[in-house]
Amino acid sequence: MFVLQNNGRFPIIIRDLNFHIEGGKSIDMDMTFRREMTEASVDLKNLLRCKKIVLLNKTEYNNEKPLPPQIKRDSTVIEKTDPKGNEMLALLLKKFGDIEDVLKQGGVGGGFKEPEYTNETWEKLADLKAKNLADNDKEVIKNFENIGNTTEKKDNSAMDMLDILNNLDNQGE
Amino acid sequence: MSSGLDGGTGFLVGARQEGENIKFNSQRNCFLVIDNKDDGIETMLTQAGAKLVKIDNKLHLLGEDAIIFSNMLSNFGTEKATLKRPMKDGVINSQEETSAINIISTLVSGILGKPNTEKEVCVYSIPSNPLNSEKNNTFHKMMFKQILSKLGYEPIALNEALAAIYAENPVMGDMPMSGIAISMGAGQVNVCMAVRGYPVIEFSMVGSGDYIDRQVSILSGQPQSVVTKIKEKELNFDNVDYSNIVLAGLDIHYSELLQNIMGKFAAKFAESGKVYEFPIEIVITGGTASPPGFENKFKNVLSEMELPFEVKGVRMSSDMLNTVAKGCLIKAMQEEKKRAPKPVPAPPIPAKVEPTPENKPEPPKENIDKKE
Repeated sequence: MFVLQNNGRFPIIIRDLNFHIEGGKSIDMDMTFRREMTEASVDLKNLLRCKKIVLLNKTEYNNEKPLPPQIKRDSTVIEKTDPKGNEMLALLLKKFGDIEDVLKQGGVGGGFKEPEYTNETWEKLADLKAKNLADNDKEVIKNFENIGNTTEKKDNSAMDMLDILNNLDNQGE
Repeated sequence: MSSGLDGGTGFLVGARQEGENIKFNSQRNCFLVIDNKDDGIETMLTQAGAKLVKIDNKLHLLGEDAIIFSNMLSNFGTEKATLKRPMKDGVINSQEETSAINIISTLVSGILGKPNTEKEVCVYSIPSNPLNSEKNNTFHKMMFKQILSKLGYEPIALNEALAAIYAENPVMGDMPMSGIAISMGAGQVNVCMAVRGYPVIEFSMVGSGDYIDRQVSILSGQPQSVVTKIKEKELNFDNVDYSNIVLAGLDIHYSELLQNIMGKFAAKFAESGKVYEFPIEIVITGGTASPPGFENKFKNVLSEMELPFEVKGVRMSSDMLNTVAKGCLIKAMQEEKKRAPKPVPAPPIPAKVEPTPENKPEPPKENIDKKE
């Protein structure tokens, strides 16, 4: 988990791609996949607009707990535009950029109008998160090829069911 | 070629059609992290034939082997012998997210193997969004899509209970693929009502097999793995020994779950405002519905409820573990057929025109000259 500060305005806790803002407001990427969480998406968009992010500390604090003052003091400034100082943060910021692109495509807003995101946008965000996780560079070594318990059954019913489904399709039902 | 995958919380099941047979390949969806500070342990486990995977140099036991070793280590009082699941409540376990994805990916590739053809269609099951939890299946759906794509498949998601409809073909009057399917997994119960193969009501509820085991574990003070073992080996709903607190607890929690499911379905059905001419058949599948006597228990619960529709009958699926994978396979076969290049139609044969006085061709002039 990382604790970030946005221009000294409010600290933000980041756990992988979950965003939490201290003081009751939270942005959890899993939650933002829900259509009704548009308010959270607005906050996320504001967060993405900020030009400078301050890395406060790496911490084990729970997302629900308020941020203790000593962590705020242990801050290390890392520019969003120059993320060389910390590889993990650079990775996070790269992900920020990806998310920002999706939100830009999906959101329509401006002035006092809040952006609205469709189910398609949430699906794209989920797809992005899944892709990031699937592309992780963890080394995986296994001592097997097949791991299943195999059973083979003579079963013609699958073909019968396929015929029924095709017939229903052809009937335009 | 095409394949189906049931991505369940308790089991992962792959299915392929091979001639007249269907080949199912299943494995428990769980793992155990092994403390491998001692170099000998890896050699010992490998020699014992255990399925091992090293992720970032951490040793993991997968599937059935994980359960065997977890039980064995628990008996010796070893710490950190807790069995873990890469999925929870029907979706990828967010607490185990990064390792969960590597584990599921390894299990899926071990069960399905590589695709037989380029971009082979693999239909995989997904749960509906649950009514009684804020869990959302979008990320889970996308994660499985990524895992299967990386293996080289063309992934397509299908609702788990709809897959059971495709495999079991409930009938309403003379309408095929019409009825209610209830898939009772370890994480969620998925419900779908379909008419002519199209879903009209879909929902799920968390609080299925694993939850019941957890609750009974708290009630009885027994470890959850022991409760699960008793459920799988001793529970018979036709003859429950109420002096055994585990069996009694399981019976009570099952009753509550079934009442909840059918109560929620009845409410959804009434909301839909639809009226059907024929009574509706109910098909049940899934490991949580496997204990002997379950069908009678379900019928008893139904008989005590007032439902806004007539029930034609309750039927257990022909193969509780494999039904969802089979339904996914059927859908995959249909998709492959749709995608197969259509045969190029032969050029039309010109219709043979019978000679009539009007269209009779004139004989060549030179022949006429010769006759004359």
